[in-house]
Amino acid sequence: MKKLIFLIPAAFIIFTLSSCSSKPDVIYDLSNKDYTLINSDSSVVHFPGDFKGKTVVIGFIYTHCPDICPMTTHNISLVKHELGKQGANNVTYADISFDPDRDKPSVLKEYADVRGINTNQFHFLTGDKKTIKELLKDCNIYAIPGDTTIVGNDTSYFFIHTDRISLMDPEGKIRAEYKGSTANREELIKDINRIR
Amino acid sequence: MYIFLILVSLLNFSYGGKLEVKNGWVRPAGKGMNTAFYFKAINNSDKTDTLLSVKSSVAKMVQMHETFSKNGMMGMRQIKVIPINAKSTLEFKPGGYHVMVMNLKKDLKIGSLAEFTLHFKYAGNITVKAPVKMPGD
Repeated sequence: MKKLIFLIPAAFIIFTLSSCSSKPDVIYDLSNKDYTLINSDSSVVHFPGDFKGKTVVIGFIYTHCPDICPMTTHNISLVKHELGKQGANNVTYADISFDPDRDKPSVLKEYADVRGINTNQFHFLTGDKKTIKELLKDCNIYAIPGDTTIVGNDTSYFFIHTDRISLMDPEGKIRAEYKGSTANREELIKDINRIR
Repeated sequence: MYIFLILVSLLNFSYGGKLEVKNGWVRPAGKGMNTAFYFKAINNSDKTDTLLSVKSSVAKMVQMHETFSKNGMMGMRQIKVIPINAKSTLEFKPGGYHVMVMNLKKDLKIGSLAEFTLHFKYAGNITVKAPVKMPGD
């Protein structure tokens, strides 16, 4: 009986320590994939290969979104700021557009600039439609164009879409997902520190 | 400059004290893009008022929208009018009701101001100068 009294707390401590330090399970393995994307400087980015060795915080957005996607970008910016203070230099940040028709590199650049985001550390990525479609499918992201709205002489459309921030480990494996616009940043940072 | 903007954002725009619009702000966005305007409308009167429309010269089109979640997906839909019950507050906020500001005629940069006119059924027109800023700033 005495042994049992010692064993139960010991087992609890071991379980707690191991669950705090172990990485979350792999959700999607992109480590063998190579999506050719373009960043806001019009440079080619091989995703996820070019980010190998870094944990990547990924938001899925479109720049014409007035409400939800800017919240996702803002959440990532705040996480970046906080981790910067912690000296976490093996983490990088990316927004991937699911609207490649409109989100050309210059549009992504402007989206970042107007928010004061340095694109050397926070990457804004787009690509050709086929590549983006494949990447979205592999990450289980849905983006369905909604009704077209006439704005002046122009037309505009908005998406019904997955609201997502994903965490990718340094090997290119997605290990955690959050609701992008309302992600709990403390939880995100805790998970990043478990993964990186 | 920032002190001025903070003062502006704290100002209450009211109609005879019965309906106040306060804490207005706009997300930054570039020319040709879309953004959102958020605020609180406080109905101090004893009867329900209705927000009928919002206008602004900063964009080619302005509409009231609400963000919704369905089957794990997020979307937006237009709201034609929004009632504000007596002695209650209607909040336009990220992820909820927002004024969709479409196809901006110019850049809305952090630190600038954008003017919006809200048209209420009883309170009439209330004009707000909203600071362009990031949430929480």
